[in-house]
Amino acid sequence: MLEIKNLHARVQDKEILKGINLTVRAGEIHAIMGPNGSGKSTLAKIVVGHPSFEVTQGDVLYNGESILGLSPQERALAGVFLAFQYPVEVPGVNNASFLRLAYNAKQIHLGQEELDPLDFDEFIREKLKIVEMDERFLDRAVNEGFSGGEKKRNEILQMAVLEPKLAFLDETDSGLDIDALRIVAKGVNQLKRADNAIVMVTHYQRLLNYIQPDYVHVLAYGQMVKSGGKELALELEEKGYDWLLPEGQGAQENNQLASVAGA
Amino acid sequence: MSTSLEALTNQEYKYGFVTDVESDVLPKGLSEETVRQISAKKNEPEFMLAFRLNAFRHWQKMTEPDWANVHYPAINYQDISYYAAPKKPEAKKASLDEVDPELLATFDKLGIPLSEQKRLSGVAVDAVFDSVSVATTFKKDLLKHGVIFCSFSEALQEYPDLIQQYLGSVVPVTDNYFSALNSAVFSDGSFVYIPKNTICPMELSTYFRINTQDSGQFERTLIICESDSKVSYLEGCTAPKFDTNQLHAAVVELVAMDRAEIKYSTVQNWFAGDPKTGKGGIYNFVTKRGKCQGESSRISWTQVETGSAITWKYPSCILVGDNSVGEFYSVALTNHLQQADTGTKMVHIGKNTRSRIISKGISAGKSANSYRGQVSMKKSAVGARNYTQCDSMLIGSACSANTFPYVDVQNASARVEHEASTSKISEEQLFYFQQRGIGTEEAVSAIINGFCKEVFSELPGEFAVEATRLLGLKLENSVG
Amino acid sequence: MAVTLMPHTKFQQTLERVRQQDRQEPAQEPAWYQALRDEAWALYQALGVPTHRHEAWKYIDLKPLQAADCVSQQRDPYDWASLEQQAKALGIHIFSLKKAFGQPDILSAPWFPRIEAVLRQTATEATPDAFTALNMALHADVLVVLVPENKQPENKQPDNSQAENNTALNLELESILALGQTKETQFSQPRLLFVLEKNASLSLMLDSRLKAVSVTQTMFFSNTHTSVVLAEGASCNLCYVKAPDSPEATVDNYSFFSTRVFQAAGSRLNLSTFNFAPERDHSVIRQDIQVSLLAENAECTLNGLSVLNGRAQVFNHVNVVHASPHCTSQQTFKGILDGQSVSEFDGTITVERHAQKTDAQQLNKNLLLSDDARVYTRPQLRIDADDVKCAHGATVGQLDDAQLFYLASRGISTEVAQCILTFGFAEDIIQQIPVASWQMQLEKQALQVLGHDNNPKNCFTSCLQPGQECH
Repeated sequence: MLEIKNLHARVQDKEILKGINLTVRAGEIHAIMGPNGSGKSTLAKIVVGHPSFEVTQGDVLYNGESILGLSPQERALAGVFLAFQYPVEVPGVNNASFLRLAYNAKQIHLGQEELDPLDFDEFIREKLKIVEMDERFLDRAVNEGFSGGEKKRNEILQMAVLEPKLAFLDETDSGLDIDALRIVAKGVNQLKRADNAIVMVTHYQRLLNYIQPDYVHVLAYGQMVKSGGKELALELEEKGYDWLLPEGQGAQENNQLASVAGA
Repeated sequence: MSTSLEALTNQEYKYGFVTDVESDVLPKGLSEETVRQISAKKNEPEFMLAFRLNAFRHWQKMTEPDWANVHYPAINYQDISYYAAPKKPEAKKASLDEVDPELLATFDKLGIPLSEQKRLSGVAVDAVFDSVSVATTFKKDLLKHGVIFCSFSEALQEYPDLIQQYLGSVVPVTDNYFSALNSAVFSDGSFVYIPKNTICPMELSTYFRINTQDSGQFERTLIICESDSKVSYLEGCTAPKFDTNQLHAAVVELVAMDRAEIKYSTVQNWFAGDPKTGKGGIYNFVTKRGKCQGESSRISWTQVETGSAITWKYPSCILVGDNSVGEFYSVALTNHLQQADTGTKMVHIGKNTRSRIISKGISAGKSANSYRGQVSMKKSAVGARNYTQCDSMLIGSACSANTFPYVDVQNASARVEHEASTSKISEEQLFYFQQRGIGTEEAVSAIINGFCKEVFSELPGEFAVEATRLLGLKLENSVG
Repeated sequence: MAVTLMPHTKFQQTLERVRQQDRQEPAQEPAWYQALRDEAWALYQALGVPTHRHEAWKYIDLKPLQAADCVSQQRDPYDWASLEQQAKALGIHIFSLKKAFGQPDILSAPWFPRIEAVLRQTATEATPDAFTALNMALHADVLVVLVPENKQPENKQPDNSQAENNTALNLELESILALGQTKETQFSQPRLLFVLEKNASLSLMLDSRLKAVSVTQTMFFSNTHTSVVLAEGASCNLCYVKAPDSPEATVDNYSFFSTRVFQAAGSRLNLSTFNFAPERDHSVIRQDIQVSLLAENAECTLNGLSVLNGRAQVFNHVNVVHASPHCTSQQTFKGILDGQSVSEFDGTITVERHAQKTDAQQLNKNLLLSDDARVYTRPQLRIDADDVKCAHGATVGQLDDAQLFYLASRGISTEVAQCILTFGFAEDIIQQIPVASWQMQLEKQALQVLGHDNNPKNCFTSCLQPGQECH
């Protein structure tokens, strides 16, 4: 489904990804782990077409075709989804209308019928249950004044509404207390099917207790330094990341990268 | 701004066509003689000519205001024609059949069908073409309810006493430079009279169309609402594209008696001038004022200002009656090289008077958008209240947004609250929408609608939709 | 600029006389400084005394001033010996510019060229105002305070428990503004210059007390100008207090204060102004503050409190100019108005085209306690950049009914509740003063002018102490 080949990317003059290879097939769950600032979030953002990053080399294939030339909107309509680490607030725009707008954009793209507000209301109520969200969320402005946990749940709600083929979850566990984490994980597990795939980007192993990955990859300094099964995550939890890092590259560079890559 | 923010194509001003009708146009220039000629052409009663001449004499002594945050080359008032009328319907026709089909077609094209078969149901329309009213729909139906809705010229012939009583009672002849000019040379407009205990059975609407190049439009609107009556009135405006500026200096006066309610809405889409050079476009210098004369009366102004090269406009309320209410809801959008200096004035005189001001300014391109408002609590306005909110949205880094509120409180029991904020449409927001499969145009429209919803919700039904669509069109090429 | 013919008022006659005297005096000043003065005088002549037509002077009645027969301009009678002692103790420079022009040791000091540059820059400005020009033209002397690089004057007062180790310097202007025992109308034009070099810090209180006088029918005019220059990383706390020496004082006076601040990268300014006017006060105070944030990460906080009674009038004109990205500003001005007092707040946030990421806030709140008092407020935004956070608000009203009820439900009398809430309204500003001893002084003055200080029935002060019973 997704094939990333020797991907190099930079922001301004700083190279962040230095030759990433990754293959994700339908029905799989992948976890990408790594120290802060290693380029994990960047990878997810590049796949969905964030304008801040420039791909200098390599390619991203989705269902066998390169998507680097597609606009973010085209990628989204093709079924690529990103649950943002820091979802932006959109004051004044009602959450329910936003969800309906997105849902109908997809329906139009698929040549299917759009839902009017009443039908959508029914539809969305079912989806709310997946993330155990209150209906009142629908009446608020998109992400405005939401707590960290509410924002993350709202992201999963959107995933439930849009039913993407390929979903990146960027640090979806950060800032969640244990109950919220369980709800979010439960939601994600419910949305998992044989014909879609999920890539989780996370710093901690904790989320993986709730969503079991088929593959775990470690990303550091813009390169995949190790891949393995879910047991790799446990090993990382125990030993940290240092043993995987090439010698001479300490925490200092990481911090620099973190400051360049930003959020 | 990134390339995605500049991607959308520019939408042509779709009302920029010119109607080819033969017009009776007064030669350019303004003198006492011009004023007399206008009055004679309209066969006006003596008091009207006296009113005009008085205004003209005052105007000659006045100077053009320069305090607004708008900049334009000096207007040559001798280079404007003060009267232009389509030739054929010399007097107002009794039936629409006699109206020049070319004119009917024009209004059709503007989406304001006037003929019996096609006219909008539930909305009575007075169509003003250059200096004269060409048709008024549903006039007879309204008269059955005692509601008078006709062109100003007609009212002068048929209801001169009402006109004499109220004309200039809210906006005195000497009020300001442009109102004095209007008082001297206005040619037509709408007149509305709602008798006691009457709720006007339909929306009333005037549609203004400037067609002739180098002519000014100076219309006059007077709405009187007697005790316990109610009316909702809407005006729309468009003009052809010319590369010269046209002056539009209207005066609107509203009078609300005890417990009467007037709701006045405007969707203004005059030609704004060339997006690149700024050439042409309407100078919209308008004086609008309502007087809440009676107790518990209410006047509400709602405006969506999207056009004009320059907007200078402050729809105001004089709250004389105890417990009367004044409201002002405004969306002013400027793009390209447009300039707007608009806001309101709420003068609290009566006890427990209340006013509410919601202003949303959207600036894009290289435009300048200013809110200017005054809230004045006189000593007699015991227990008066005002709430003002004025928000600005900036789109792009070459525009300006200014807020100039003036608050004057002379009364220890009055309360005034003013707040303002600024916001923008960010790249991050647009990317978020895109990641969810929503295109930039739709995203911008959703954000703008969210920003303006408190104002749009005040517009009568279908006009809210129209306003939304209009803002979307106007912003194309600015965001995205 | 249109050349205005100056009306031949008594005021104008005095000014011309003063200027003549200045010119006849043996020129201690160097030619370049004389030239700056000449330029300022020409500017003043061209601008003319403002009238109601000038928006920024709309509400001030200057006619009594124009008609005033000022006999002379006071010389600045600073106590130089004491000031020099203070400066020495603090490790900073304080000197009279007039004297300095005759002192080779100052003129040859390595830092003097920088002072000279600042003097040139601050002499005239982009947005000219008649009275600041007048001050430049006719001031008697300039009091210069220079805090050298990295200098944080040592703390000599052990009780001064502020986190930052900068010392409070008190400059009392009472000697300047006080009327002598004379029946004649006088005027004075103090000029001050504070220069803080890189990473220097200073806290300074300018306390202008009007001495009680019993002289009848005299009028006093003062026109003070202060320039503040903050170099990179400098930090300055300024506190202006205008209050009568005693509540019984009646002084007819026009006091104009203009302050211009120029801030470099990472510099911080905390400027607070306090105007206390009791019942018998007839002061007309105009305060004109302009802050230019010239480089990234500069921050300024401007606070103001006016507690007015009698016929006092305070006109605050504030403009914070964000001329560079990433700067932060905050304005909070409050007024408590009783009697026939008048307060105007005319505040502007100006964000220039390239000043992205500006964070600017502005708030004006007024408590109107009398039907004869009047509030004008004009909080303005002028924004030319899109990625900014700007907000402003203004309120005019009374004490909150819900709060009054809440206190009443706790058994507190209406009278006391009103005192507490009114004082609380003022306290909000006072508590932002970074110097503890100043806070105490200002609280005392606020209580005094609110009339709560020595009325045992109010038990006001005790109500504010936690754990104390209210009668």
